[in-house]
Amino acid sequence: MKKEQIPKSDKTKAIEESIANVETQVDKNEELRRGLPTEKEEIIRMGKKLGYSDEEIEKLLKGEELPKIPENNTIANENLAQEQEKTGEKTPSKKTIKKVVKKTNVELPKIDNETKENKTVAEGKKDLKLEGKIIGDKEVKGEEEKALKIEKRDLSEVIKEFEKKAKDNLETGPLSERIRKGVLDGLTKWETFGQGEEGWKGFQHRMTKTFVNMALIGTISMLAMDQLVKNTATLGGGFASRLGMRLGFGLTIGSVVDVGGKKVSSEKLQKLMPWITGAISVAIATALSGAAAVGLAAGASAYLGYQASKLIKGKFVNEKIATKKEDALKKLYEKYRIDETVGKIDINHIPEFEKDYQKIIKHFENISIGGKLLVEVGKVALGTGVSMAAMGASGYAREHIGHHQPTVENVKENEQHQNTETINKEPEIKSEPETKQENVAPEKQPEPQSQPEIKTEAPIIEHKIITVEFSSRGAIQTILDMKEAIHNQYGDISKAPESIQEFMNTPATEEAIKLGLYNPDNPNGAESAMLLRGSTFILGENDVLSVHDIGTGEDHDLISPYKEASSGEVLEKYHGKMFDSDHSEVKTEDVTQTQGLQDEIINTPHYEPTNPVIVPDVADPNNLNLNIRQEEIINTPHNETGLQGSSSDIKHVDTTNTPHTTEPLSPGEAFHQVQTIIHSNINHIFPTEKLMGEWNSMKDNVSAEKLMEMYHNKELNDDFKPLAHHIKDLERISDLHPEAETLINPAESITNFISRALEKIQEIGRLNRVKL
Amino acid sequence: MNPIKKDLFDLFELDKMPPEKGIEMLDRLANLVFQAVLVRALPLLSEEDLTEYEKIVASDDGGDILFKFLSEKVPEFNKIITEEIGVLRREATNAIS
Repeated sequence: MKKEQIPKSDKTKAIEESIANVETQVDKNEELRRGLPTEKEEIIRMGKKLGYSDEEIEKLLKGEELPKIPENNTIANENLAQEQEKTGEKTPSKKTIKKVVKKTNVELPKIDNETKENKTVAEGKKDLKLEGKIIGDKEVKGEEEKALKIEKRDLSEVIKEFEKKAKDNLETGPLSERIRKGVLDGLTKWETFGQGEEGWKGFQHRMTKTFVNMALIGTISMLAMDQLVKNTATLGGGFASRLGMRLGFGLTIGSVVDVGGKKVSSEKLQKLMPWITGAISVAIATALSGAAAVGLAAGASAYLGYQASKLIKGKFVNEKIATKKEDALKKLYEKYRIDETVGKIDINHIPEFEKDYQKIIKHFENISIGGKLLVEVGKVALGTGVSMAAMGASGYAREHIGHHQPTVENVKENEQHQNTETINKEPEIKSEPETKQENVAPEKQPEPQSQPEIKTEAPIIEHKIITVEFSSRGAIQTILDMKEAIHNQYGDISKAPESIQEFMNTPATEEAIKLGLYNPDNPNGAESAMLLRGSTFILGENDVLSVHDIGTGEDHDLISPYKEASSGEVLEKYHGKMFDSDHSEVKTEDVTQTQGLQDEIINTPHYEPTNPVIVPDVADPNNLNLNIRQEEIINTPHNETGLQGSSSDIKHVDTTNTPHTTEPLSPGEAFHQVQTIIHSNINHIFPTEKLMGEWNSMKDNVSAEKLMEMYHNKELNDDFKPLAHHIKDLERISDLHPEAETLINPAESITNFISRALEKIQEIGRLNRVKL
Repeated sequence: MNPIKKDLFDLFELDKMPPEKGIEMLDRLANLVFQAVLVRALPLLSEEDLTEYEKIVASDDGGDILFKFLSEKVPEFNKIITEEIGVLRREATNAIS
């Protein structure tokens, strides 16, 4: 028999809808939920406030029909009616409900830990008894004290006590009247700071106060406070309407608290960030009338920004942003009636389309900040991207906009941006043999949406970063070490990407030859790659196998499961110095030293290398000038080094013939020289506009010490590794190190350390060693 | 977490409170520290600086100016703050845990 449905009253429906709204909102802001009342708590809180009994709240929680607001709670009912009348809402919003709750002023029931705090001594003791800490009636003294403290643990009461004590101290303490008044006035000024102020200024003041207060209770460092205050102050208007600003703000919070404020542990951050986002929401909601939703959005953005700050750690994949970008592009296609596969576009709309497309790409490029999300932005230059998108979407358009036609050079150039740094450093590669161009029929030009997404479509593989130091026994041993480490990491190797499986299944000697680390046929006898102690073989993010040459500070991706069509293909062989490990007189050989070989390098995307790694035990790595720039090598007729004896005592002659001492410069000239090198090196480390943007956004927010800590912990994003390598070089040559935070001074910024180290290096006449 | 290592944020479980309540508690805790800091810092100011301080508190300038001024004029201002945070934290630890 069917149970007859009891008709619901309007109020009941209204409350049900409100609760549903709350639930939806809570779901939408999953991250924000941390630190905020849970859904259950919210329902209980509201239910209790409105006077429902426990049984009725139980029903509520089970999703059963919501009982009417208890009639005996006339105040709540009256208040609700009044509010609805005022707002004209048929269905009271969450805000209205909250207002009613506040107005009704019902004593909130304590929940969870708060309930525990309200326990009586007897209850506290009972709990301890149950836990076996009180045996029989005989109480353990320490536990008794603890039990007593359970009652005492009403946090507001504790603060009240402290406040009273502080007030007494101030009144009765040995202070002059003037100082006492100064303290009281100062306190009053601080207490009232931001109160009652409306609009953005009010928001800014309240947020400033919140951050300073966090510093005052030791939750964030004073440095973090300064940064946060500074950035809050620069927000100005438009905060709510400009996602970029919001995100930027969030990023600042994230980076400062996360990185700059090194006192904040990751455990604390997990607690802190949702709390801060909540605080921002409150501050904004107070600043704008009816802006609770905006507040929540801003909070979410701040959280997003915090997450974005993790990008430099190389751990963050913001699918949400990527999805939003995709949605925006889809809408754009719809707007111009472009079918992504066979669509048509009116030629007259091309300019508008391009403009809109650029807007979207730029917008999301800004959001991505750390830069791994919008692969096509990095892979395909904007102009090319636009035209490719247009053409990809419309065969008709393709025939009419020749000036946007992507050339092989465009594509190659853009690929180079994404490929290895070394390839980027070779301008000649851009003039890749034209024969390849001929091989690419126009029809076969990459589809705009598919070409750039090689990376995004790659299977998601858990990052397993393995670092193996190059063995002094050579490359073969190093490869064996890596294999062992991979085996330990993956266990079942069949679960590893194909490229790694291939690496594992290839004999070490063969692999060493394949990777250019060993060349037994080298006619000069320099069969072994020469890498400084400390150079590493890395299975990095996305299972890219690379070599980090500590001498040059460069990373070389050797094998990647993504970058080539055939997974596991060697992308770039080791191309650094080789030496003859079997002879008493050892010559280093660089494949770039002859013009013939140089031409070969220029004309091929793969460095034609030579060679197992022998890692010379170099007592003083400073004596090995491996930071030779390519053009210097080309202009140097011979790069012979005076390597003597066995690999364990190799000495090196400076191939650049640059004197280690310089003519004394005036302070002005020295400053200019250092600044020029800083500028040049930074441009070298961050070669693209996008990377430079990332650098600018983080350089003053991350301490040099923190950066290096992240580097050593293998948390650093690949984009920032060259910077870490550079700092390592500076540390090594200058014998200076980034200063840590003290009570008085913040940790030294990256820019400051670079300047300081370079000044020292300039003084000792070794600037040529650190010029990138 | 070792209670000794807990800061005031943890001790008072601000993260478990709704933001409004958490901010209110934060303000109160910070005021306690700030009062203690002022009690120690103001006597360290020179006559001239104290007069300047009085002008600032009487002005319409924002409260943040106070911190800027004090951090510039009071020797080891950050250290005083750190010490006072420590004092309150110890007292709070005894009272709560």
